[in-house]
Amino acid sequence: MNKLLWLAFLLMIVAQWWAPASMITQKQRVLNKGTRYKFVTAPIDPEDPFRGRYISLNFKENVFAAKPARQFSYGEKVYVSLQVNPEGFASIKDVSSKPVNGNDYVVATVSYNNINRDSSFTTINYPFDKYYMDEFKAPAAEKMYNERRMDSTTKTYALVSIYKGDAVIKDIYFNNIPLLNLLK
Amino acid sequence: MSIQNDLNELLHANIITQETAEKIAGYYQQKKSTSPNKLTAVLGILGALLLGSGIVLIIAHNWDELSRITKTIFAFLPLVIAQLLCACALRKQPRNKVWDEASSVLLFFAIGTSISLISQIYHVSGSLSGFLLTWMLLALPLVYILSSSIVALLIVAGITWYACEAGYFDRSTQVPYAYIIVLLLLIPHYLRFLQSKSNSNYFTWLNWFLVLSLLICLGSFTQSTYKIYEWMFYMYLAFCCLLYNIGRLPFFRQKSLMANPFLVLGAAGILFILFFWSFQFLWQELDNYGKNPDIFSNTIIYIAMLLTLAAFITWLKSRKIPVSGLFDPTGISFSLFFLLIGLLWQHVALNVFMVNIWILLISLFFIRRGAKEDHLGILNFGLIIIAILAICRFFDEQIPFLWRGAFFVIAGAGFFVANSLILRKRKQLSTQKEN
Repeated sequence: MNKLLWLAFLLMIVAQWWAPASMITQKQRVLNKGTRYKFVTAPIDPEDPFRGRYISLNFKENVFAAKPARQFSYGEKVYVSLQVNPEGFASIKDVSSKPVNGNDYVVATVSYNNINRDSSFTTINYPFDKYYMDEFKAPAAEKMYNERRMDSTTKTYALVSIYKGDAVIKDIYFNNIPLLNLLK
Repeated sequence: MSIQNDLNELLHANIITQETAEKIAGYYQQKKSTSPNKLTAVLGILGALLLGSGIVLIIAHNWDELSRITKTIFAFLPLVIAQLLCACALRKQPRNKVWDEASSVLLFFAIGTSISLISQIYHVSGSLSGFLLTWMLLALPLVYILSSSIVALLIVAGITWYACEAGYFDRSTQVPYAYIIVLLLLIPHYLRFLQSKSNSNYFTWLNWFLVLSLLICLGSFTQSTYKIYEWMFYMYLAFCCLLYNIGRLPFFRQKSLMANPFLVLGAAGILFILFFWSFQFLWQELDNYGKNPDIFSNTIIYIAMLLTLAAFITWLKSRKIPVSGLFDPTGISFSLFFLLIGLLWQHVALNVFMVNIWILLISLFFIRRGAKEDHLGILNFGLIIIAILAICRFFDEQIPFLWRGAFFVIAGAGFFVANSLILRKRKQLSTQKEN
């Protein structure tokens, strides 16, 4: 009985280590091997009771227009292939409900699908919409964004590493300067 | 000390012998040395709870000046320390309850800290519900390996939060089936206490946590509530009747009111729903907008039927031993409501009348029971139900002022008459005894 208890204890420890360790290896692989894309963004700052304050990111490039129309349902898992537009920012190349080849795609969910006669507009939710920050810096970041929003020359973007469906945010930039450097 | 005084008194009165007195004193001495000090246990657990939640909050500050490696080390540090403490607790022979509980609580929070720090480092967007579920599942073995009761309570609270997040708050609202799985995994722990420690304070706490959790989460298992709100109320009413009937089973009936959350929350829920439907506007709305023709495609109807069946079976069982020989309509309230919303839903006036009469019947049951058992608390509970009913009807413009006034006067007079009758009865009994 005692041996069985110890075995169960060891198994529990392994599971408790495995959960965070697998998160690390998975995300580190995306950072090391992934392609980096710049996503134009608009941040706001909510908070999570355990993981702390974060800035929530809304991406401008989140609508895909298709002709002929495509049918997607709300909450459906989709594979979003990406490309770089002439300004150097990420744009959607294709949205598919079936797995795609290559490394430069991200698995997202459909938040809205509007079908017209022969075309459709699909709005997607990316799996990288939270950027965790120091609790005192997050409101400052939000304030800074609001102040500069009127200035059309300011470009806010998130540098995101994309690899085989998964994604990790590297940094947030205001006109090519990292957000954390601006807040120091 | 007080036992020693009592023993001396009994010795002097020649009720027990010197040998028996020594045996009794020895027994209590031994009991004192083997059972852990309650104060130490409470302080130990409270300390671990505060320390653990404090670490979670400090981590949530999000130290972005620290490098990724440093943060990763900090993510595992509390986990390793807490796991080592748990290993020490597991090695202790005989096992020490305070050690087991305190180290388990620390490990519980260390698991949450570790996952949340990794989420921060890599900006993982995963939902709060997914985070809570992973945390609770990783902590669950502690309930069995270290027999931690506090962790079991924390897990019940955690999965309740998970079910609310997943079922009520998430953008793409899902049915939180994992909630049921975690509850099922806690059943052996519950049964262990039910069989051997059902009189412990902890068992009372566990019951309160479970009943409250089920009441909060039940609604999250239904899909769209469009045009089915009456079934939502019915489902909750059937569930509250089930709770009430469980609370009236012989096992729980003998317990005090505080130790019987089934009875307390069941009765409160039944009355709350009935009072709500004693007004005309909900019935009127049901009649105006009609019923959802596609009701059978929603899980709500199946959950409601299952609960009805369970409530009916427990009602039959609890009925075998009637309270003071009276018929208690409270636990069978679902049958009336089922009839009204299932068949008679278009007869607005009749339905309002029936619900009001039913509430009156429930209140009369409690008043009669209180009078029979010579229990002022129960009697006044019945009178309070009538008083609330009178207040609800005060706003009912359809009832003439004269009737409403009469109802109030009767309810008010009821309080005075019933209470004074019981007090007089008590006085008579005490004078008879004295004579």
